[in-house]
Amino acid sequence: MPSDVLDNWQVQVRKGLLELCVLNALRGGRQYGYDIVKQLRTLDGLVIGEGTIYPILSRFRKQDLVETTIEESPEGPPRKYYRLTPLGRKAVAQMNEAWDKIDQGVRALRRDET
Amino acid sequence: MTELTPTAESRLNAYLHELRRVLSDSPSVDPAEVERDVRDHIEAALVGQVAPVDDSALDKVLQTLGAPSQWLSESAQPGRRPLISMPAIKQSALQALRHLVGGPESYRLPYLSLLVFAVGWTLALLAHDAGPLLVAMPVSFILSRAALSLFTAERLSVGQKWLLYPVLAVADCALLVVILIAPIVIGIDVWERTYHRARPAGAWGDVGATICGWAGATWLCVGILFTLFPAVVRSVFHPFATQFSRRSGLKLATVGLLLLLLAGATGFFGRLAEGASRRQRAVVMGASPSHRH
Repeated sequence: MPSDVLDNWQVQVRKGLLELCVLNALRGGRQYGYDIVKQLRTLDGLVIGEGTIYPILSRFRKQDLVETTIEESPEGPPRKYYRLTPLGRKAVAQMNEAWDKIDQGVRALRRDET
Repeated sequence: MTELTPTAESRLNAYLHELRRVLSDSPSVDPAEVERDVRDHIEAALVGQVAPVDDSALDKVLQTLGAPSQWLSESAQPGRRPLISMPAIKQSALQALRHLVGGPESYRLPYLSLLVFAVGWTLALLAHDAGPLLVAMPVSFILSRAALSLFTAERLSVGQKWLLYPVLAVADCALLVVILIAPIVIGIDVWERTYHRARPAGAWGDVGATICGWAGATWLCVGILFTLFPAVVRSVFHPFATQFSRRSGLKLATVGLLLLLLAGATGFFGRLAEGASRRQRAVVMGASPSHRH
């Protein structure tokens, strides 16, 4: 497989997955933007440019999937925290369900190969 | 923001400029919001660095952030959406309604403020009566200021600013007119009804001197007050007067003083000219044949 085709495929897969992961990172409660990045950083190969997360968060906020609050921080200036809206919780649940189906389908296909 | 060396500062500015350029045409994201998040990210990533932070340390952070041109997915790239899209308009209207009813507060207050403002203007125009406006203006002003207090101006998104600032701008302009112009108008009116009617001669010179005098006295007093209490001015006219200083108040007081002096000079020379004219008339009348008899 040519490397540019592989790269392009990885970029596409990563972008879709990143949105799912950002929403899942917020399922536990409100998070500071930088903390979301740190959390996703641990997923190997998922986040290539960490800045990618911020346009996603902005888009989610416009789509009412997340909301923001500004809170004082003991470590410096006030911080902006993101949290899921009820609509966001519903969306992430549906996305997880869809992802599980895809994952199962892909695993099933790969079993057939072997 | 963490202190940066000049080189690092210019590198950061170039990076943020590129970020704004890439995101500016994207309808799905708010570039100002992303920029603030990226600034916060950089700030957090540089914690512990010795200030001023140099360009090599900053570059490491910028590298992990990646090039802004790689951030948008294809569907979010500019130029892929039609200019007018009914579903998009419907979605925006629904979103505005949802914000208005269910928050978050950062959007509920701006929407509410603009709604009250718009309703006030509409009713005033339909009824040809300023009454609704007199109620709507203070209410929408207070709502806008409450939103600003909750979310500092620096952290408001462009959308929130568009919702809040028109109300504040109109209210602040009205307040400025009341403070700077209304005393002049009232003063001239009082002068017109009392002094001027009793003494119509030399009217234009007197009007000029009176306008200058009232304007000068008003602006001198207001300028002195502004000089003494610049924090009050910044607070009342927030967020448009963040740069206001004692010097600005002094400038206004100086203009007022100059106008007052001009009014005094105009009045003084006006009286002189009037006196000379009267004497001349008296001489002419005294010299005329009818007066000789």
